[in-house]
Amino acid sequence: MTGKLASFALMALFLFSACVEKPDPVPEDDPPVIDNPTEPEDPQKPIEPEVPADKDVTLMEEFSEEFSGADSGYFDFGYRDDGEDFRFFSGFPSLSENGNTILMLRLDPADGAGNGASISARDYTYYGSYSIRMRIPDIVSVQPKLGACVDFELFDDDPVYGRDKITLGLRLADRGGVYVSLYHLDADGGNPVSIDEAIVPGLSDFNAAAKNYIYGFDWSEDAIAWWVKAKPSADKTILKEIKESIPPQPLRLRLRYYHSGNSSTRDNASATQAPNYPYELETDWIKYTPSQQ
Amino acid sequence: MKPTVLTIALALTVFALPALAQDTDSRFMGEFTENFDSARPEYFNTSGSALRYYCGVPSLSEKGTGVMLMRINPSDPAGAGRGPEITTKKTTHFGTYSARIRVPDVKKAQPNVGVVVGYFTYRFTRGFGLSEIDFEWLIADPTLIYIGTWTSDPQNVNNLQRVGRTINLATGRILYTNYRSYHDGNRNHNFDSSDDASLTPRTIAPIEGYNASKQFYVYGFDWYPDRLTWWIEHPQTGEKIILWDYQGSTPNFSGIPQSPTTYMLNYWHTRDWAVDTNPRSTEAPKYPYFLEVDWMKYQPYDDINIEWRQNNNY
Repeated sequence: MTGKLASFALMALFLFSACVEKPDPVPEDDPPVIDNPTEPEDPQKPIEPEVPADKDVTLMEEFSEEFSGADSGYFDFGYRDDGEDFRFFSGFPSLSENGNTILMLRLDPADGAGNGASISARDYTYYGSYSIRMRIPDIVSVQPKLGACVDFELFDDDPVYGRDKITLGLRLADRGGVYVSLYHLDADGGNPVSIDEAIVPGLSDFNAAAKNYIYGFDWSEDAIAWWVKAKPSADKTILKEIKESIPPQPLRLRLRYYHSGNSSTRDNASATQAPNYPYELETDWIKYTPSQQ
Repeated sequence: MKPTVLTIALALTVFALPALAQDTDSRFMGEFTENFDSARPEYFNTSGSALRYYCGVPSLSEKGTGVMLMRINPSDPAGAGRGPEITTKKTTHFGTYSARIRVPDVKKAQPNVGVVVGYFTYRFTRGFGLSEIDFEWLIADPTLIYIGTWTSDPQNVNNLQRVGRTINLATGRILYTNYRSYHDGNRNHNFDSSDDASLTPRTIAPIEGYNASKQFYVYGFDWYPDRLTWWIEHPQTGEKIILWDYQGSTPNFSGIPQSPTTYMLNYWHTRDWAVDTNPRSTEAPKYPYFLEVDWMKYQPYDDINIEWRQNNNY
């Protein structure tokens, strides 16, 4: 069976199968970075899962979340249970563009490594185009060794299909780089795939802290292309494209802003410090356009 | 006495009471409370870029509280008024001023930062000189409060004098209460130790854990022509704790401002005023730290203000 056919069969299985709500994905530890990931025995080998009879996945339709109000119509905010949570500010005036409203996320210096502000889409999404307009805080003068990440990603940890993650990330200590990654692990822990790459976009004077950029990735059944552009009318500057190990299952979109104790930057291995101040991330909007597949 | 005559006499007495005078002078602010509920302040003008002010937004530290945030810009030049600053749209005068403020917590991020939060009155009026009353914090050490005034020599309004007191409110220690003036090159002088009018209170009970950056506090001052009292509300009991009850004078002039002023709050980088506990704290801010202001209030003493204007042909 070809890869395309296999994907088609998988999608059919998904659409056919019944289901219940899957548990909310929980923030996991940073995935292990494998320098030389083990190549699956046969990337084209179709997955033949045993789909649970009660499994159901509700797919979201096209949306554009502008963060113009205190709540979101498409995302749940990962508030703490105790009510004393000062990390999420939706509908907040932009910190850099007069008259615009944003989602402002703040780090909490009391959060441990791997923890931070996270928003998760209410339901699953699938092949399509994902984009976000955002600006990271400029912390290089005040705390150049800060270990803090922004991950705009699709994720799921499925009992049958395993764990998949497609990420476009930024590091606060590295204003000039964009970090793309793809991660997979079978449900039984086999067939690990870990692609992790820091890329300097081919845009003049790219500085993720200086202004808002539009970042995104296009996910189809046979390719993922990560990209960035400086303004809506610009052409996409492709950061990376892969055509293997493409996740076949619907995933859940989320934005995570957190302290990482081990995700150093491409040129600063010591950028792992906990935040000394709740440095603010601003997100103008997040968009999803499903593919016609 | 006929009832009608009694009625008229009573009415005249009532209207003659100065405490009931209502100030309708359009040059002055009436009583107000600025809650910063809207996108722009109702009673204050802002200066500089709109991206320095965030009004009617949720507090960054207190649930259910709407605030105004000020954001300092690391590229702002040093100096008072070079950062975010708000000023009342009209003048103010004798009265009670109060505000609820939380200064930025930068102790870990930048312990040597040189940044001032000023909650104050300020106006230089031709013929009268400077009228300034201050509450100030140097955010490198938010356990200290700087209070005081700046006034002009009535004979030459360009010659200034400062009276001031600096307090560590976490310990209750008064670091100093002093004055300085142009007369002798702005050298600091301590008030005479017997001068109760200038040194009251001589001791201040500490507020346990006081740290202006850890929570909101209500600060205020009551300004009379012959008395100026700075105070803070105890965060647990609400008790008004007197920080300085100044009724004194100096060898030159009293130190209590007399002329009308404007009501202000600002947030700026200083490169030459280090906090008393850290002589290195003069760095420019390396990040646009947020300052939070819940509200600012003004309650004028109308009768005193009307009388002052009449007496001074203002």
